[in-house]
Amino acid sequence: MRATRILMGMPITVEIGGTRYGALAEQVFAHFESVDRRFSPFRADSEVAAINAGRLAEAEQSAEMRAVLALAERTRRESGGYFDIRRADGTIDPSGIVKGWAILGAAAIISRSGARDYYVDAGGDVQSSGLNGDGSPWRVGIRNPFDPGEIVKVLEPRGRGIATSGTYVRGEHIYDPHAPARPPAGLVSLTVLGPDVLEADRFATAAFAMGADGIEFIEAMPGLEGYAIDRHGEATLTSGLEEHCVPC
Amino acid sequence: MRKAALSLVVVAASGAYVWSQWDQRPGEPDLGLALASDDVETGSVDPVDPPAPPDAPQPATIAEAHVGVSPAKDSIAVSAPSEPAHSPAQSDPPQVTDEAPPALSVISETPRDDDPPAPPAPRSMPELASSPVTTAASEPLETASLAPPREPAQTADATEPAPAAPPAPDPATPTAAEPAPPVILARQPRPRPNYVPPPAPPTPPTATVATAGTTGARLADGRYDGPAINAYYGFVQTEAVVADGRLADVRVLNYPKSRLASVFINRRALPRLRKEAIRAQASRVDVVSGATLTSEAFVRSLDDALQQARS
Repeated sequence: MRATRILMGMPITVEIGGTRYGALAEQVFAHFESVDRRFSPFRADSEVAAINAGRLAEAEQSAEMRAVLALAERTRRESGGYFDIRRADGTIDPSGIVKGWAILGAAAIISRSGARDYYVDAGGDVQSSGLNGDGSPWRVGIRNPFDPGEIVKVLEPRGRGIATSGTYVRGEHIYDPHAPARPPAGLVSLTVLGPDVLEADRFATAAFAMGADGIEFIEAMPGLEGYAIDRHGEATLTSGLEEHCVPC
Repeated sequence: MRKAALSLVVVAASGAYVWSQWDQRPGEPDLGLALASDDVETGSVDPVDPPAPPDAPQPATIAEAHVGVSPAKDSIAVSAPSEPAHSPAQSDPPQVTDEAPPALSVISETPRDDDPPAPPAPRSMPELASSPVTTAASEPLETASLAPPREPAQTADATEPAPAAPPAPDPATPTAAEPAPPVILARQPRPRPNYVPPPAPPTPPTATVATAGTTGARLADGRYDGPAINAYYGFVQTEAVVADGRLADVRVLNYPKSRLASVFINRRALPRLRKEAIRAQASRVDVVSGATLTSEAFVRSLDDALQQARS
């Protein structure tokens, strides 16, 4: 069965092999709803908002918040500071890591129930497991950043996680939604294949911030593969990506 | 004196490269160059545990010059929908190249009745999806027989010492893994400067290659060839290029290439960031990964997502 909901400001799709998993899908969506309530920087009553307003002491943070903040700090160190949830004004925005973390949690909910064939897709970051309805490994396509209706690369993650960071293209303009006034320097899209969607997501975010050198960072990291697209439509692949390409 | 030191350095580089071959794990491009210094600036962030041995990814120049890869500089216009490949759809029958995968030929022959969850666009240009290995002749040895499994151990003679056979990639393994061979230095991204409204993008780390070795004695400019060292599979020879008194580049002049097995190993070891022009793919997909779209693009994405949900 497959279902899609708009949560956390993006379409979230869950597909689970077999037909008896309606209740399980509901659990997954409830999980995302709970993550949104806690981590959304846009909700005035979220735990993130409370932290940013100074209303929440560190000792009062939830276990989930602590886990996410610890992950964010580790990612900041591992990326030489290119991943940083702290903004200039001292507030935090953990969106760059919450998405992957939430998807991984959703996948855990599904696999704990015994299902082996599924995927969870939240805003283009995907954790998959097992086989699709045709009995083949799940196939994930990389969207053409210049034409959203087109796929430019097809990957079979085979249990690994995929995340894509990118800028937006509006006509001839490419801009980073986090800094719209800044002229685009590097990549338009960076897709990372990692051991799971959380690893892929946090390093996709970090590497994207490094610009054109982000793909070298991914190449240097064991366990990660990447596909970067620059503003001229030229793509760079890490050396191990081909093993997951269809065809390659 | 400095010349002797430099020769020593080049010999060490050749030796290190040789040594690195024995302990090489595929997928980690590395020349075993002990020369590329740490790019981490002093006095910046805590000198961290580098995330498990990131090997020095060589600057693109080395990869291009020495592996024989000429990165395809083909680009498509940003106003992509009218990219050149579209016109054949109107004027010519679909062209299937020699490298087209079987799925492609099926697609090009018959219209598909089934409505896959994939975005509709690929159906309109089935002839486009030729092999994504579009950097034409750049990888002459990329034949099916060399299709790299992660474990090269299947090749050849019993007499040949097995190249390092790593465990198969395990999705559950966290990225922090085993310790590195000591000659491989981490290439850390330069730490991000403290946040100020950025006037310009940060200096790319590749610029630091020329300034590596800040603590070393000044070297005499020129090119220095190290001796050819026997790496069992063949000989390895490196060349050090010094400019402005600093090591600016290290080139691999020769590497074992006399046997398929050697070639395979070396192709895994030498830096292989490959480039290609993006091309529309016709393969069916189950799900699409892309940057989250918002505003007017969000609506299109949403439409797409809900279409998948309905089909």
